[in-house]
Order: sequence, then C-alpha cells, then structure tokens
Amino acid sequence: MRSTRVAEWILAQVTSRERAAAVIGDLLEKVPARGQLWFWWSVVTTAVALVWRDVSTNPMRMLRLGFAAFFLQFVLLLLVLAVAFVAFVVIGVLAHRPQLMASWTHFSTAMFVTVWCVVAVVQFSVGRWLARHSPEHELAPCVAYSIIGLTFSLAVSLSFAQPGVLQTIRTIVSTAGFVVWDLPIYAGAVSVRRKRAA
Amino acid sequence: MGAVPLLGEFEQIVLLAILRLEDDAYGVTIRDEIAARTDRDPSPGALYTTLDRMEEKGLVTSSFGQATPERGGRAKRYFRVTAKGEAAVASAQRAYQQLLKGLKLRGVTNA
Repeated sequence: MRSTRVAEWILAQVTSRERAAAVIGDLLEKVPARGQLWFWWSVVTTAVALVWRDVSTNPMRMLRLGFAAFFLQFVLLLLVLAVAFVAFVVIGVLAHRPQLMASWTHFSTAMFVTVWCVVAVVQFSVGRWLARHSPEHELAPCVAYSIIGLTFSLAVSLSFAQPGVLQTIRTIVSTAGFVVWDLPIYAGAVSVRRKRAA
Repeated sequence: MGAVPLLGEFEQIVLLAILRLEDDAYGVTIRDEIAARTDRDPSPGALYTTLDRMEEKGLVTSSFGQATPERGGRAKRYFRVTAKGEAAVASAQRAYQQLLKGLKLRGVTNA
C-alpha cells in the first residue's frame, strides 16, 4: 500500500529504517480495530515524540546548533541581499533608458522571484549544514532552530501587539509563515539523511 | 554490575509488561498488556520513545523477527529485559514495598 510506504518514510526520517518498518507493522495490526485516522495520528505523534526525544536528550547542543544556524543564515542572506541590491541598482539605471522602460515591470517581478528562490536555496543549505553536524539525529537541530525562530517571532509579535482579534490573527499568520519559511531547512536535512542512509 | 539505574513510573510499567510477555513482547502485545493490566492506553509515541531510551540505557535489548502478511510484510521488533533491567525494576519495586509497609490504602490489600 502506497500510503503505508509514505508513513514508513516519515518515521524513517527520525529513526532507523528497520525500526520505522517495525512501528508501521505494529500500527497496521491495529488498523482493522482502530481505523485509518488513528493510524495517521499515531504515525505523526510517534514521529514528533521520536524527534523531540532527540532534541531533549542533548538540549544545549541542539540550541547551540540552532543559534549557529541563525547566524549562518543571517550572514548568507546579507550576502545574497547585497548582490541583489547591486543588481537592482545597475539594472535600474539601465531601465531608465526609454527602450528598456517597458520591460522594467517584468524585470522587477523576475528579481523578486529570483530573490525568493535564492533565499530557499540558502535555507536548504543551512538545513544541510545542521544535518551534517548532527549525524543520526539530522532533524533534531532543525526543530531546535524552528523553536528559536518561533519564540523570537512570537516575542516580537506580542511586544508590539494591540489587543484585539485582528492582532491575534496577525500573530497566528506570522507564526504559520515561519513554519513555511523553515520547510527548505527540513528538506536540506532530509537530503543529507537520505545520502547517509544510501 | 554498576549502580542500579533509577526508573520512571512508565519505564517500570513497560519493563513489567515485557517480563510478563516473555518471548512475545513487541509493540502491539506490550501496549495490549499495559492496557489490560493498568487500564491505561499508552500512545505509540510514548511507548516507542521509552523502549528506545531503555535500550540505550541497557535495560532491554531488541531483535527483529519474521515478517508477516498482516503487518504488510514488516518484521516485529521483539524486546527482552536484560539483567540490568531486571535488577532496576526489582529495586524500584522493593522501594515501593518499603514505602507501602504499614500504610492502610483503600483498594490495596498488601499495604
């Protein structure tokens, strides 16, 4: 069944392949009595519990890696934004020539997309860096990184918060944005883990 | 053997369940045994993290059995309590017995 292979792949990101297969086998034995919803809930909660165990076993090391990743990401993003800024200025000057004016809108859109792609590549590289520094527990430092980011994001949101429903919605949206922002980091860590397993 | 490790409550429950099951202790039977004897239904996440932690501490060992069709061709991971695990659970139970001695608790006959 394809869906159980997906479930096994999820668990194999946080434990060995053999153990992941055994856990899925255990859960499959109970599916006739408990149902598919229970199966998927158990897969997700087991994956979360296993990765959280990796974080809590050595929390100071994971936090150090998380902060180091923030620093690395900050430096890399500064470099990328500096290059993007120079490119904008140079092309912006050229765009004021009448024959290039029409393509300015397309150009700025293209630059916007390019910058976001480069940011995703930076995030992916940071995820790979984190995973290389935490063999066998590749996702754990990424979780520490996400926790630091979410804490910082919530602290900033709440310090400038005005009471009200709108502000609460804004805080939730910005928190959700942080989760999406972190996805390339997890993808980077998973790619390192896959390479190691192979 | 070194110092006997201290056990958490859930660790004791899992170790006792494995001891009761003898050669048939794997994820499903351990959960079922705990549910039947304690009226608790531990989450799979809590059970597997506890088993992994106890294996790292040398309290249990695990080995993979045969793959079966009802498990989608996946092997069972069987657990056995080590001598260190048995000593730890015995020590914890002795401590409980000492603390219970002379107490009158409703529903506990040997207190």
